[in-house]
Amino acid sequence: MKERHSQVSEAPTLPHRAEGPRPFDVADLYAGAFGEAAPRDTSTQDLSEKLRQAYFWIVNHAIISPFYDIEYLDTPPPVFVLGEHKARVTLPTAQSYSSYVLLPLLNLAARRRCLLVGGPGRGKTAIATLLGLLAGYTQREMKQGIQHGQPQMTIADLLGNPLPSSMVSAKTMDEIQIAWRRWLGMRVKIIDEYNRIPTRTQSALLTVMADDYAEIYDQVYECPPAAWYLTANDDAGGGTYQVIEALRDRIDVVVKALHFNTRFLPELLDRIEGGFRPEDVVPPELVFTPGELDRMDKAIRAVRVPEPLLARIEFFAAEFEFFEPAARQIEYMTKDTVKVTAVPWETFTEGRDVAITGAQTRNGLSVRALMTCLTFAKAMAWFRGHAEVAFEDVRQILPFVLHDKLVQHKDAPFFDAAENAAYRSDLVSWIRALFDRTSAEYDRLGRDQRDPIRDLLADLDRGLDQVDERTVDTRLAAIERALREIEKGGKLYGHLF
Amino acid sequence: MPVSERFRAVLEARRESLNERFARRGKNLDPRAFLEYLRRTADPLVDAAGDGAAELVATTLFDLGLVALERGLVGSGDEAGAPSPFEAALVAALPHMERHWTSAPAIVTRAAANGYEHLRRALDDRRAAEWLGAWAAVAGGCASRDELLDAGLVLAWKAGLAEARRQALACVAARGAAFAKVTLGAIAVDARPERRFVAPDAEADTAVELAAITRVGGFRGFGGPFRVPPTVAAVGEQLVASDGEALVVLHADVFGARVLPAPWARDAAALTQSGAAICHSDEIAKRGFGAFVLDHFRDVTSVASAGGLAAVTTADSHHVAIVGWRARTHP
Repeated sequence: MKERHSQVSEAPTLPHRAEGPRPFDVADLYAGAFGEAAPRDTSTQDLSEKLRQAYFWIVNHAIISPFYDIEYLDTPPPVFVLGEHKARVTLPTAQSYSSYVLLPLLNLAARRRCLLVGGPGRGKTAIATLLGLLAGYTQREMKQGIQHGQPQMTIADLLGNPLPSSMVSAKTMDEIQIAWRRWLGMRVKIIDEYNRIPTRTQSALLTVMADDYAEIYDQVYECPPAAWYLTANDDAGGGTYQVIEALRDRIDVVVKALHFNTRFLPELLDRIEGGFRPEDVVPPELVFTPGELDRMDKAIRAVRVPEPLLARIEFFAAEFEFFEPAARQIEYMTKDTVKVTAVPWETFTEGRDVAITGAQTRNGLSVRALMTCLTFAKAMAWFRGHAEVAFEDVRQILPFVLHDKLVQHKDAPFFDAAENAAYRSDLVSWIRALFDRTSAEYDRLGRDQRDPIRDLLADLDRGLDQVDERTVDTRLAAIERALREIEKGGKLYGHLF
Repeated sequence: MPVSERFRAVLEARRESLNERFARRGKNLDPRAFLEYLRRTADPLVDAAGDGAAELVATTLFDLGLVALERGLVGSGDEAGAPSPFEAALVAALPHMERHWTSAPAIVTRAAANGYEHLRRALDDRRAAEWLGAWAAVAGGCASRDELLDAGLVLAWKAGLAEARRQALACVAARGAAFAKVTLGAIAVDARPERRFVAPDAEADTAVELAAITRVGGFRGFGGPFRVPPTVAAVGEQLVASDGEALVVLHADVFGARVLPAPWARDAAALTQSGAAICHSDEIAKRGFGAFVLDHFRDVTSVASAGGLAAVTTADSHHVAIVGWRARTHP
């Protein structure tokens, strides 16, 4: 019974359509019904295939999550409208994924920071532990490595202690030796129930998470690049301690643990009768070496983002920071201006127009958030075996990356409409709808074909070396013409800011 | 007949797990035939593997036997209880793989079995067995597993797997003269496309002549791919043939000729059907194929040339004739 649970999906897990004559490959000769012959050293192995196999192993045998909420389509899907609230159910026509498994896995490959949110018993710690095992750690190492948040957790509990003998004999701080906690050196770091950690200890955790080092008594421990997994029972500050904002901001992706579907009860019975847990049956061929983890990260970073897609993301992100009523001077017309001066949002009666997408949020997107969006979009494309990010990769990944970063303005008139009310609690659908809406606007404005500001920026990038006065005058006139055009429009929008 | 002590020890130690494997995957198999396979094939191989590798060899061969029995590759020898050609080839070859086999028994055993099955389906049992024997014979000289696998590929090409030509030549070029000598019997291999029908060990200045080398394809009713006489076209460096329904790519060289499905060349299928493939391009004229075709074929419906060979179809044949330069057979 255990062996069934160790079964690995046969490659290729995502066959691509034939695009041209494929040369005979050595693997073709040695692959077949008798099993994987692993013909090459792992240095040349397709790691995205291995990661997909790991994904399918987890969803088929380890974490029961039959919710395929990352949907890819290659043909128009059948759509069903169910229930009183007219929920749309689409049957994906291309390989689709469960975010609860896929995003933690991408987090492992891209070595970022993932928050798993959900009620007790939803498998948050289990999936984080499984990913540690896939990164090559033993169950014992993972047990030792998990940091369990609790109200009495001190900095010493988290980072380590000065050795008593060196405390006595040291004449300077430099001579104090620290017994660092072993988890700091691990490539998979798990902080269980991080919102139960006292505020002061959270600050120490922030340094490790943000800057990859720990510091006690002037001694510094430099941590290797790692994938982080934090768990919390809810993401609304319901833990013992309020999570400090800087720590929340360091979290790259938020994943919700969904409920258990009772149709899969026989699977649980199987486990009881077999007397094993998924952690006991991780297939050894799916375990990644440190070298493979490094190579995955490098391969993900090498995935290209095509220029038109980047322009679309730029257009989307531009919608959120601009807030006209915040200032008289255009540079300060931002939500940040309102935030730092702590003026209550309710005092602003303008800028709440339903037509303004940016009116649905209370903040803009930070540089860190944008970098995370691009990293995870690349990871998604790479996972699907592509060398270039596609529109749908961005569309699918944004809600999970921006979940904690885009603060919803719940009082915005947009949410008063009955058909939009559910977006107040369903942030994933809300962010996806935001992207769809800005994308439609991008297309309506024909920005792929015409973007005067991009042309002006291109002129600017060429610099002023060897440019005669006449050309400078022409360029300045073009800038003024562009500003007159905006002036004529009468209304300012985020994408013009 | 009792099995060796080594195999017996593994069977005893893994009894529960192996029984579970058989119960799970061998439901439709004849238990007696499987036991015969274990005795006849697994036992001598486990015994030959030595203590260090015995357990892994045993479990690998156990799983392999389940698949092989299901696919009819086991126990089909002439006499009752006689090994099949597949079994005989494994027993003869694997122990000669020496350290490659004992250090990674699962990988090498599966590679050998998959390779055998690939060649058996592409060619026949005899050539599959010869390939495995030839591979085992060169294994001792291979410094790494990668080199061993490359050698297997080159030998598969030599056995007649014409589609492996490009990759095999790349392996030979990368691995050098010693590797070429061991696998192809030649220190330097002439990779020029127009020399594809000349043996690799021929002298560089061997005189050549244009000839109709072989025919591929055929009527579907007799095991070929075509319902009606096909036409051919060149797509990049490849030649494709189609009858409007089946679409195949042609591979041919001194070691053999094969046709394989070519779903990637759908546009070419339309081209061949439109009649536009009756080609009089510079390539055909330059190589002298044009004159040769006019002299040697009647009712030609299409000619195409690429990669140092030409393909010719005629109105009255379901076959595609392959024309190329071979070593001159007369002074």
